[in-house]
Amino acid sequence: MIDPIELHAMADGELTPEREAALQRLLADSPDVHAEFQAILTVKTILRDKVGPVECRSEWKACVSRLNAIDGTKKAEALFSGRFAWGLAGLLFMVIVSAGLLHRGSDPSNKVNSADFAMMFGTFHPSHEGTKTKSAQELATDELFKFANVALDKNRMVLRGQYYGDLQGRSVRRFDLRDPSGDLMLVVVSGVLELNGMGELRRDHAFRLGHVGNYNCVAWTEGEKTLALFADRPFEDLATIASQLESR
Amino acid sequence: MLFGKRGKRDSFERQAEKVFPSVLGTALRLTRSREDAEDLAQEAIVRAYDAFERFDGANFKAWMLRIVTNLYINKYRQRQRGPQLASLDDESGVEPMSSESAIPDRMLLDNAVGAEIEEALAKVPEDFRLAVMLSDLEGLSYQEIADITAVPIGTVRSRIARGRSILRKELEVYARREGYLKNGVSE
Repeated sequence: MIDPIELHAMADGELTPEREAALQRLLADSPDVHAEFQAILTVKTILRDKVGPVECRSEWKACVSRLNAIDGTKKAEALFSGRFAWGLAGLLFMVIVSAGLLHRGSDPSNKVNSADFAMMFGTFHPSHEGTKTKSAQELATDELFKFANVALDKNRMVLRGQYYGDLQGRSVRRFDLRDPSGDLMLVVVSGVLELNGMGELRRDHAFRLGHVGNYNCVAWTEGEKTLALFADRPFEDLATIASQLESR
Repeated sequence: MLFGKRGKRDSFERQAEKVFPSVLGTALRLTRSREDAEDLAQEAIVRAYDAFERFDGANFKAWMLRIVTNLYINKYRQRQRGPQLASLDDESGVEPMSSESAIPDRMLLDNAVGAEIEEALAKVPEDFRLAVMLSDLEGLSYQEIADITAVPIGTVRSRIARGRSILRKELEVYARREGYLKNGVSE
């Protein structure tokens, strides 16, 4: 008896020549084996002839598109992570440095974060530390008047000291003041600034409100200057004093 | 380098386009779902493109079909329904295909259409179907089929024989339904 598996292998041309010759002899002698072999060939022929290739043009186009996308991604990756990576990084660095240099050479920005005022409390240099004599105090008061375009009620407000400094390339003056309610500071910055983070005073829309460090702050503009009044007291009190300064 | 990449792409695309009908056809006959087959074929093409530098240059079609088959086994097989291998043993005996109720071959050859053959083929359990497809539709050798399906060559032989035997029975069912065969006697 012939193993049917061998007949299939013979139909597929997978037998050794010797074994195939032996089976051919058996095929010639046995009609049953011959019929079996023909049945195998029939199935093979049916599959080969009746099952055609599937239609796949649109699917192949989709594959090509996908390959194009992959190639594009690889090219981009190679550009940024391959041999040009250092060049691009250097170019980017140069752009950043150039932008920084250009920015430094241009006019300072009008935008100032209110928190920047905090540095005015401790880093300034005194110009008239401890105004001991009346003439020196009057001189400083006059200077304050000239610089800030404001005046002080000398009976209520005493100038205790004057300091100068710099904020983002702008000239800044700080005046330490005292009135019957306590100490306060007036900061005058040249230029009209936008004070980020400062709210708006409800009573007078010219004033801006904010907190800097432990102090409340009221800021406003006076001509080409920006003034800010700091004290550990309510906004209403600061706004009243600011109004008096502004009204002059 | 850029020319090298362009050449690689051209070479791959040229070879892949030739075998793509086989890739999609195999995927379709494995998944029995056009949508799944398109996904499977496309993923196989992408995988092959990524791995093209590792292709040994021997038989691109067999290499592609191996990728499709592996992808199918790893990703799609668990989702498939229908006849599976579980109830059948690779090593079980293969029944003779010809019998007193044999199909009138000439009639079947003349009347059967592709869709009906595909329908009969789809009823063959998966592992047997794959072996028959790779042998009779794709023309691969037993050794290539063994490499693709990762089974010994003896198993390939028995799967092909068993698969054809089952297919033959399905074709008999079709022949009876269509009236080419009544109670084992051709009309």
